[in-house]
Amino acid sequence: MMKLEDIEWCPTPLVKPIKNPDMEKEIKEISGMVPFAASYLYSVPWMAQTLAILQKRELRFISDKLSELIGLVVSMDNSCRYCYGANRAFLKLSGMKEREIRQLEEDINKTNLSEKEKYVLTFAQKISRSDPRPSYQDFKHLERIGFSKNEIIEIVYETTKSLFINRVTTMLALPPDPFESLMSNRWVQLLRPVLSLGMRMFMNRRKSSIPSWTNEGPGKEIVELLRELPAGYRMRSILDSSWNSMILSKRSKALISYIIAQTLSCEFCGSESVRYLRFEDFSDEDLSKLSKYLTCDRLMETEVVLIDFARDTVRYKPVYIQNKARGLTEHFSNEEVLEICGCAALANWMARLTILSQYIAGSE
Amino acid sequence: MEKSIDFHSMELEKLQRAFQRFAPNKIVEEIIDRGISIHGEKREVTILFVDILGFTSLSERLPPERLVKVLNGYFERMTQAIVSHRGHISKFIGDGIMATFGSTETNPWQALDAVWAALAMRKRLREYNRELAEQRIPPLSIGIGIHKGMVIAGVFGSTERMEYTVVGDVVNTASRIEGLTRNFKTDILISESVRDSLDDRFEVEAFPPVAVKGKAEKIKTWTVKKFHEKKIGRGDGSFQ
Repeated sequence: MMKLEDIEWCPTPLVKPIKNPDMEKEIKEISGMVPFAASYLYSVPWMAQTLAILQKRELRFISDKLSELIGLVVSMDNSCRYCYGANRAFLKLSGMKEREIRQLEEDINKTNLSEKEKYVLTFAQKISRSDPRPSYQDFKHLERIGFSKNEIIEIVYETTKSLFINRVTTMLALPPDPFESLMSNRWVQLLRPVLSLGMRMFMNRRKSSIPSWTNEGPGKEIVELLRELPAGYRMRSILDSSWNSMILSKRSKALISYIIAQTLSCEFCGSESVRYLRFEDFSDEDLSKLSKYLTCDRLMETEVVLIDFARDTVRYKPVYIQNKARGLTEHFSNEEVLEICGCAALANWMARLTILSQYIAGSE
Repeated sequence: MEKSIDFHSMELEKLQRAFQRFAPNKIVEEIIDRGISIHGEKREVTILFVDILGFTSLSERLPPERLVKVLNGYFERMTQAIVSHRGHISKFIGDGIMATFGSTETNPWQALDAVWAALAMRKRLREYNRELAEQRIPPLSIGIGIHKGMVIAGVFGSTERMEYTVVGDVVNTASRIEGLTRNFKTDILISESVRDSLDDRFEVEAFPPVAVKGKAEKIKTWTVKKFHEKKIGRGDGSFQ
């Protein structure tokens, strides 16, 4: 895991921030504030909306502290300069000392965290890396040390949602959130306890009531596993809005998902993508060739580029993937590039979230 | 006490930074935790060996400073070709390089990547040779051998010097295949397991099976002549 100061990062973001009062108003309605990163995503509305949704704290079973620690560890693991810096600053605002954060950065096992917390963080790393994917036994160990089924589901959700945000902000090479520099302000340090309390109250305010919702569409079976959490409704709306966005074709989205599923050995996402690709007249032979050789007669030139990029979003060094994202602009418009990054991040999220199905199936 | 803790933290940081570029995160964490990694795993990996032909005579003809510059320029270009195709430089052995594909993370298309890397190396060497010609330095020629199979991956060595690498018969065979490039007077040779991972976009030519040192059975190899970019499809199975 890279330390914050060691992470290499492209000096300029892939896209420029834009002003969009209508989107800002919508984002504020969703999360109460406009995240710094949102203005870079307005040209692909579902991505800005997703960021706002994920900014809301809607934990039902695990603590704020555990969620924040997961966010830090996963951001470190993905070398996400943006999220790592923001998470770090947030933990300091919440009262974690610099020395404690440094210990966590060096070795989770040598911190003063409880054994339960340490195990959750190494479990979160395993999900993030997925090489190999966590086993059923890893889940059972969480149960043995005292986590309920719903707590485990929420841990997996918080972990995978973090890696989605990591990928979006990394691929776009977003500059550090201004929030980061706040902690070096003397007044902020002085008023930290009050500010921390205020921040938590704001993030945990008005737990929005979730309307009754139907679960139809991509990822239905996995979203159903999140039914007991507000995350279920949120995930449904994220998947639907991304799938229905008109910037990229559904075929392109299915190809991105297929390749990422293959790389991560995710049978669920692989099968879902195949179902859609058959709808696009991909034959068994096409799919077999695609799976084995990353090509088939049905692919267009731009789709070969898409597949090559999608592969590299599974595990990457930041500057490498940032340069690859920039390379996409030779073949696609800026909005398309942004949506490709969003869809790849979402596919990585889903392909890792599906390990819940293995856990739930084993528990029944 | 605090100074001692800070000193050890710095040492750990240095170790972490040094290893991060060469080994998976889990290995680095294990070394930090235990001082050594006992992690070893069997995995399918594609190995690529590349060597400069006639290096000894080149080293006798060029003054040392120039030779170092030429060699480093060559290493830089070959490394870029390998890394940009998802390869990992395992080690530099004199004028040779051993690279692996699929060793630090799972890669279902590792053999494809390795052959693409080899083709990129061929192209970059051609470009480099043009630059060398302008400096009146003789052109470099290389031999590349690629083989795929099960290896043991882990950290090998002592506390004085350790490296994350792979060992096994597959490694030896890849090295032998690289050696055969001189016999067959070609620059890229692949084994049967690599050939089976390639589709018909790769123009290959088979060579007769040959016996190599340390192997009971003869080895079948193919040279990779060219990669034909896909015919541009309309997305419906027809072509432009």
